[in-house]
Amino acid sequence: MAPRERQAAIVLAGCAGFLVLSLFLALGIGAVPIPPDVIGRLILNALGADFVWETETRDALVFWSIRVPRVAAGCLVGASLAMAGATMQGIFRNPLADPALIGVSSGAALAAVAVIVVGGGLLGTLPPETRAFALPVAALFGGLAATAIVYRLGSVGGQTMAATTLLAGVAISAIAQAGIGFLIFLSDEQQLRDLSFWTLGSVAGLNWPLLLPAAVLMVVPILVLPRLAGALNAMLLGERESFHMGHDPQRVKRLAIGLTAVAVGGAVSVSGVIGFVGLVVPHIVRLLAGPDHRWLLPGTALLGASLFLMADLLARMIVLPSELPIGVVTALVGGPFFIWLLVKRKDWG
Amino acid sequence: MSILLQARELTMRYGASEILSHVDFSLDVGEIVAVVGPNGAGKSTLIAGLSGERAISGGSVLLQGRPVASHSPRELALRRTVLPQSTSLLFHFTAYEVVQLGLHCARDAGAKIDGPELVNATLDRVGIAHLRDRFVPTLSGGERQRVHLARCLVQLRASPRLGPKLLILDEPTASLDPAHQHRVMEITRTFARSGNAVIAVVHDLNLAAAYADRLVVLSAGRIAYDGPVAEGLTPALLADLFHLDAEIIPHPRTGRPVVLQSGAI
Repeated sequence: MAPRERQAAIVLAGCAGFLVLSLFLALGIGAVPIPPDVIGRLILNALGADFVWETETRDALVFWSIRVPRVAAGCLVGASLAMAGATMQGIFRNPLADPALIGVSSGAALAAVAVIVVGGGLLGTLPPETRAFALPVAALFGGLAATAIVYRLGSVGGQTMAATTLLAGVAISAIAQAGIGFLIFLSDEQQLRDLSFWTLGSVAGLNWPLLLPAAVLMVVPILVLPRLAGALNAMLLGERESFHMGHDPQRVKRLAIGLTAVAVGGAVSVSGVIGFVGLVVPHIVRLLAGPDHRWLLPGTALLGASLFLMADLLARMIVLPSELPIGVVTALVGGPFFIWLLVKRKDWG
Repeated sequence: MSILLQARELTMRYGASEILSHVDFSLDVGEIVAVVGPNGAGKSTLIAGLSGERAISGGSVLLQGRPVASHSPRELALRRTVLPQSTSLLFHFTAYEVVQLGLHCARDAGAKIDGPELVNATLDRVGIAHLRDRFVPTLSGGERQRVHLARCLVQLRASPRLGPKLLILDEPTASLDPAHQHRVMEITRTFARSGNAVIAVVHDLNLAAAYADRLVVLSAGRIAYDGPVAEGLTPALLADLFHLDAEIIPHPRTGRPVVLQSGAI
């Protein structure tokens, strides 16, 4: 094994362990506390062991219809945002790329809000199964469009400029956020959740019918992106270099951008815009396990899911009986981290 | 000698402007060829055309008898690679990890190789074994260049059964101190002599004269000279193409031509 591979394997195992711990905490803590042994019983009962253990109906109800959807959404959103961040940092060769920072999430959110407000009449004509997919799919295309614009603006003569990419992202974010605000101002529909949901994000109040279509969209990139690990490693040296090393950089870029848009679209359609997850998580994993995407991508998915669950737990607990939007928590942690990154290194162009 | 790479009537255009016009070029196994020429002569474009990086506008380029464009990126990578002038890497890979990236293409193609053995031997060969665990972004320009040379050598050595390999170097010595310039050229010459071939674009005429078997002089998109180094390097050619006022004398020990420059014309 290469020097850092053993270390990376240990880090990955640690991330997996941390995820299990986070799952028990996130599933157990709340207005109705559910201790770990009861969680175990509820899960085993669902698998058909109900002749062994009795559980209270109230626990089962809270567990399956409130906690599990929220925790499942948290895991998927955290994992897909973190993995999307790691992938974007790879293809843009820019350690500061993050789906929310460079405008991809806002683009996705704008498309989702537009579908709700402007496309409301049209949606009614679709069969219900298709309607459930309309929001995440619209978000996907919104994210894709934002990524394409930012990439175009940030590329000068085949080189991706870190600073220009970021600035283009700031502009796209501002425009998209203005669009979201305007659409929400126009709408008086009941189904439109408030502005803070779309701009600060939340995974509260999710149910299965809302979550499942988006979950499909998030699971696919989480499973497929790690297959691009080798190509992304080569891409870190530059597009020409990756071609000379046997990859097709145009194809890799299209695939990676497409898959991240799918992941971000799925995430944004259920949780709104949540910043810094895609920035902070890959940096922590790189610090611990190195920049090799073969370890980085699964590592960010695991750690992204756990840290998101922890942030959501904080958002639920800080201002009881109310709840903070989770984007407030991630921004409070991520903002200073971002500043630290800027101060630490000045050679990003 | 068998021909590894052959270009006939190679023409490359960027939009309306023709950068290379009807270039004929061939490279034998075992050879090291230096490509020189003033700025804007089309050297980088020649590399892009020969390596398959850019589509050619006219003529043909054959690698081991097969058109370069008909190879997939992986098939090409198993047979040739390019060491660019400089490679920017912001992420903290160690030198070992960067060199190891050269293995992936052969591994993906199913080759059974002792990776660590090859990587360590190559680090040693290039004289950077002591940099093995250092982060590449923290190295000096010259050290980084040698890391990437090692990566290129590993890539070409990882699939030994596919026959002779082509290494293309674009200004490989630009960021190196004089001793390391010679070391890098010696390494590439040894690589060429062991059944492969090397094309090196160089600015330093003396380095070209000291190591190349053949000199190709490019000027305004055409080949101005292609042949033995000693016959090609003449004061007249240097004056015409490079606007250099220079004398050429044989090196007292090696007998190779040495360019003594006295100024620009």
